[in-house]
Amino acid sequence: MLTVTNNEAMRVVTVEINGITYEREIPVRTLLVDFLRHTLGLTGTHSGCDTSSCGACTVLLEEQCVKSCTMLAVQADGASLRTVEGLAAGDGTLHPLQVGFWEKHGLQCGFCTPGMLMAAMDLIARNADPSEIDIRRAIAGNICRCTGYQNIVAAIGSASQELRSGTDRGVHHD
Amino acid sequence: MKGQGEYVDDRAIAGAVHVVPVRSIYAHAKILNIDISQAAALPGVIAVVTGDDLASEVLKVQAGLPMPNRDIASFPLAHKKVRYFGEPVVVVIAESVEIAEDAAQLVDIEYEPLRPVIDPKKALEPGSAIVHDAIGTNLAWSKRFSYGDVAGAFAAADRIVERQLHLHRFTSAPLETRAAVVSYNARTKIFDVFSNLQNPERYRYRIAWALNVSPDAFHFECPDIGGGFGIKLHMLWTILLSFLARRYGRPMKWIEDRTGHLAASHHGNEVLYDAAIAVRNDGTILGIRARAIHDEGAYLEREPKGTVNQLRHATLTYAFRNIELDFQAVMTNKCPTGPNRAYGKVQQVMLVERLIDEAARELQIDPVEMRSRNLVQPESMPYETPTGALYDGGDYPQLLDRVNAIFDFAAFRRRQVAALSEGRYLGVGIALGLEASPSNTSIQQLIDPDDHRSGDSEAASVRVGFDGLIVAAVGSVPQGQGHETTVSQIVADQLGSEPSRVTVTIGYDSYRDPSTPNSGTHASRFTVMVGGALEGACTKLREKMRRIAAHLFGVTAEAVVCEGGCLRGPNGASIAFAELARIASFDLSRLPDNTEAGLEAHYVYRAPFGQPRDAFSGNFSVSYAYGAAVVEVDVDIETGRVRLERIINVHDCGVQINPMIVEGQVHGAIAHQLGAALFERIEYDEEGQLTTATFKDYRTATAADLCTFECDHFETPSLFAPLGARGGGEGSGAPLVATINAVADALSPLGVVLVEGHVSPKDIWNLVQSAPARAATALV
Repeated sequence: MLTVTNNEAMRVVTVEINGITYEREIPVRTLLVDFLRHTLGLTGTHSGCDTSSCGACTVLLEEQCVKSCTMLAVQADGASLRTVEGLAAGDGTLHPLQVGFWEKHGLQCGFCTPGMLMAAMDLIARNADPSEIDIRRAIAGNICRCTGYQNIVAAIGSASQELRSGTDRGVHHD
Repeated sequence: MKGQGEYVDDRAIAGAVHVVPVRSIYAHAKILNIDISQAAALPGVIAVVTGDDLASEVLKVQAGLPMPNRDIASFPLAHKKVRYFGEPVVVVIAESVEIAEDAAQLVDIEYEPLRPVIDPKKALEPGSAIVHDAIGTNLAWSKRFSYGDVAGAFAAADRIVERQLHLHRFTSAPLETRAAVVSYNARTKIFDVFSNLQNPERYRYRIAWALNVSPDAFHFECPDIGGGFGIKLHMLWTILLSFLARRYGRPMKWIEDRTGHLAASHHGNEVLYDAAIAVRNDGTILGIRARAIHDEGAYLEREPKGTVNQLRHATLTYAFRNIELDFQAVMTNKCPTGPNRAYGKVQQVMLVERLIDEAARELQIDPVEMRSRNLVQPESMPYETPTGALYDGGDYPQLLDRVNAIFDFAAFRRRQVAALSEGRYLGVGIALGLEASPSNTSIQQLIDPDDHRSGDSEAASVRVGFDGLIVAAVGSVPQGQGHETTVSQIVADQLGSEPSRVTVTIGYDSYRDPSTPNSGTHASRFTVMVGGALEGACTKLREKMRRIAAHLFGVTAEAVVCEGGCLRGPNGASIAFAELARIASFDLSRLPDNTEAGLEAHYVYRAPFGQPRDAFSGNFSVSYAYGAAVVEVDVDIETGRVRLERIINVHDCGVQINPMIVEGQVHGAIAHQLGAALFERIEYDEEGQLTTATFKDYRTATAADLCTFECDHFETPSLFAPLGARGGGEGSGAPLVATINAVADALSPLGVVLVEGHVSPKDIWNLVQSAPARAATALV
């Protein structure tokens, strides 16, 4: 339902994020990334460029990666989302991709990392055995300014190998 | 990694309002009138503030800066005139970012456009428009630095190779833009500055001066920082936000947008060279001379320091003694320049390593061989360069040995010849570089003799808690360099413990962490300066623990060692850190006389710097890491596309405290420089409009653009750095020039000469179309 408050057109949005259902009334012009970050406080998803170039805001929408800075929150109404906060298991066990980033020094400043992880989630869902070129192409929409991508590529490669071998040996962190 | 990091925009600060700038749409114009009435009337807008509002209350930004900056005042907001596209003119303060952005659209600024000054050479011609009327010229500063006998070297040369070279503007553009929230407490009169500044302590005094308050009125807190690379060294926004927070009584939040970042943070130093190298026929370099025009942009916030930074290592890894640099700092209507990763380094490598390649080509000497013949030899270490730099050891020939072991140049040349016969253009380029760190502040005296600063300092504190765990705090401000990991390793090593038993405070907080006015993270200073501070603090703490333990054991301190988390004496006597901390804090009568309670030590390290030798020379760094980059390319002359085939980097930064972190730093530096060579160039049109204002147009290198870097390291310990470890986060400034040298090598059969530090596919296509040998190859 559309209402108007202080000249702002408002609407109620209901989304499921990492298994939790949220219902909020928001200005219709709220970007999805701002809804996640500022309305819900899920600040793991970042914003780096405003033009869908850098990928820091990448999230999974119905299991497909999207850039949440170029989508309105109202467009996600009724959808299921996954963000970086939903990658580790409830007990804190890291997802194999997170383990890969940890072990391969796949992050420095960490700002691009959530988006990289979500883009990599999308890749490994589509391609269980990605080559180096596959990985480089899959994250070509995600900019990293610290690592030169080398250890990110290695991290995703090792995680996909780990997932294939089926020996999910997550590391527990408090 | 779990989304739990905390960057500036992640913290919800109660009552914070949002500050959005209105930026200049002109490169050069008079501000005739600003009508804020419509914007101010929008519901949710708190205030709309102009440069006029500030001018009466924030006037001292330029005071205390070295010459020539004193005459070219930087203000947080433009006053009477705008001097570059994107310059902040007005700020809107509102309850939400969206409302502030709406209101910004309603601010009506009437301009009188002026002729813009875009080309720095034209800026020096009579009749050019003037960027700063106060100085009446666009030449803000100039000075000729000449070492050895340059005229004699050129007179004695078998050959002189002259080139005009241009290192373009680029930016390392951290993925997190600049950001701050400033709150003011009217009761305590304290400003809480929560920001991603790389070194707030360096600016504490100037910010206080501008606002006419005590330097102690600022509490700086830096959380996780999403990359810095020099671009988060600035002060004008902190001054502005502090002023607004005090005036309006609300926390002021500013998150720079990407266009604002690309248009108006600062850009890396752009230099035009009229350069020449004097050589003998055997490849011996006799001397280099150059007029170096630095296109400074519209203001001189820190510049022209980028000019003299080139003198820290002017002759790089080479033994020639004659060099002359005639610097001209020129004002233009572009974004100001400033520190950007490899500040002053990549500029000098561009000059020297491009000239060597061009000379080698004319002499028909192999470029690796030519470099080999001119290197400073290990037995000359420590080596004093003609500019007074004192190199702290190293084995430069080993760089080339290792390069040759990884890359078979002879085999490549055979492949290159074979490929050329098929119309394919392969190339290989090499460049060597040096990374001077940290920066001796006395280098400013080369610009302004009245600048009375010298040296560099850093602070650390280390304490043993009651649980036996060690807590360390330092004055550096990490932006992803793994400082916490490295600090824990150094402390554990110094105190005979394990890194897992050392807690390092996260980020930087001036109420918690020790600091000096030089503190911060820049100029690859961490390893040398924080390493020195930690070594000092740990030594003090260790000696104290040994004294206390010796007293308890009834022996002399010399008989006690600190290892394995214990103090051990003769005959199996041993006391754990935890018990010693308990005694030192709660059981005080057991301490020896004249011993302070508690197990804590604080130390301020002072780098071993003297004054400049004279007005032209001195040693401005402690350590000089060095490296070589080799890049192999395949250039498609039909499309201009450069395919990166191999990227090799050999590096010696002395003792590597954490090799994985060092390698990560090298990877990042390589990527920035390859990006700058092939993808990234800040561009303005002739009206001074920025045409690369988003990441759509300023095209940063992606994973798909790059290939795997082959990195090799070796260690010759620094003779002067505290832990034998050199600073090394800047890739020696070599990969950019190695890439350009590779493209130049590939296109040399066509007679193409490269002058730029950047080649886009379009540039290459144009060069090939106009190449002297184009017609000949078309027949092949």
